[in-house]
Amino acid sequence: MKELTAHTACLSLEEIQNYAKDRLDEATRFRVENHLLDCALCRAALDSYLANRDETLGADLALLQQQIGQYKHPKLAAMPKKRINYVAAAAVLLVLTAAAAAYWQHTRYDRLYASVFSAPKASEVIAMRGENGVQEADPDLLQALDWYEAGDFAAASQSFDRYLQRQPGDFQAGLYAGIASLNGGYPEKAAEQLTAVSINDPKLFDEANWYLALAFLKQKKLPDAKAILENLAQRAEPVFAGKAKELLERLE
Amino acid sequence: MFIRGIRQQALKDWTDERLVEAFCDTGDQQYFTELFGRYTMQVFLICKQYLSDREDSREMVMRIFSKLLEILPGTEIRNFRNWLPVVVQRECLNHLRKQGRFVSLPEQEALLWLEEVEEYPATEMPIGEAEIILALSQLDEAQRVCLNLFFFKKMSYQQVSGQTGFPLNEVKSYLQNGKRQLKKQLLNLIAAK
Repeated sequence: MKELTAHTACLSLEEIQNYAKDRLDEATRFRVENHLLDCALCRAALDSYLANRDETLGADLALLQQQIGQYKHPKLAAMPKKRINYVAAAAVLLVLTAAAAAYWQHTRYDRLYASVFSAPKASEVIAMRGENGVQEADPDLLQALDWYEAGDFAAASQSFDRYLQRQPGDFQAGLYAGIASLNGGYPEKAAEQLTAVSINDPKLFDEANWYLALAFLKQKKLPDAKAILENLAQRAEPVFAGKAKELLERLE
Repeated sequence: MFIRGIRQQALKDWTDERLVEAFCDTGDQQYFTELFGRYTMQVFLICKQYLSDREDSREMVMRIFSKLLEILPGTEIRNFRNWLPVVVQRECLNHLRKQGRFVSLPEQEALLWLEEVEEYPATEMPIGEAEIILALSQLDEAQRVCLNLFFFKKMSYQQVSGQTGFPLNEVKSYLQNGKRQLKKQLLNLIAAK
């Protein structure tokens, strides 16, 4: 019983003509008559057709369709339209896509860096200091370790600086100062600190070079980072060699 | 050009209501051109019924098209298809009056058109056969008999007239009014659910 309530399409000229001439099959006749029950427009059109039975309507309708298609209303033509300019929209979309791709590429090394960087815990640093038994009570070092533990690497970096001015030969502190600078937003400074550590303390060579590679990565100095990583991959202890190989693969 | 062609093709699938809304929102004539194009034949035939002359009728169609382009954005329309014949009739009568050729419509016909402006949404109702039978039972007997023969027996107007003995015009009237009443009843039943 869908026919009782369904919305039906208006009649075509052909349907009107064939209905008037009783040339429709039963199903089409039912559709036409069912539609006529609902549509005053088609009823009036049919009445008009039945009154004249004009067989040359097609020419008038073709002419009208042409006139309607070409008609430009003077007031509407002057009105600002809100319709979408598809060319402009496509251009904007293209620019946005390019910008997004550029941004994605630009931040690629930051994302890589973030995925591989991890700072040794401050408790490990403190344990290390305790084992060595030196400079344990230096207030700047303790302050630096406090900031480091709290995750405030920028503040830790400044405290390490003060401490290292007095103790420039403490390369273990230098290593952690470099790590703090690196993650505190000073990659150039970190590179200097870590280079000094790797040159002066062979025991800290692998670790300092690992973070040095990350400092170059952070600065988007890819050839420098790769050179250090390749060296680590070939010569470092297994832990850092493995890390270096993995990061090199991801850089490729 | 390519995008425009695709869009024009897509507009053919739009409902009248969506085209009206798009035209009123944007003022872009292409929406109304598509909408009016669906009913140009009917509008022309109605104009011809009133004006007789085909050239006059074509001019009237274009005048109505132009007028609707102007007035549509400020008009609240629930059903364009049922609103259109009222406008066409009014424009044709105004034109004839200006020429001193007054034509009066049969009162019943004019009222019927106006009544049909009160339309229902162009969607299918979520109803079952039981509700239809219940709604049918609430109609006048003549309407119920005609609707039964037309919808259930699939008889033509002419056959319903022959079967019931009602004149053809009365059959059409019973069917039109009965179907309209039936839809109202069904809407009430749905609302009461």
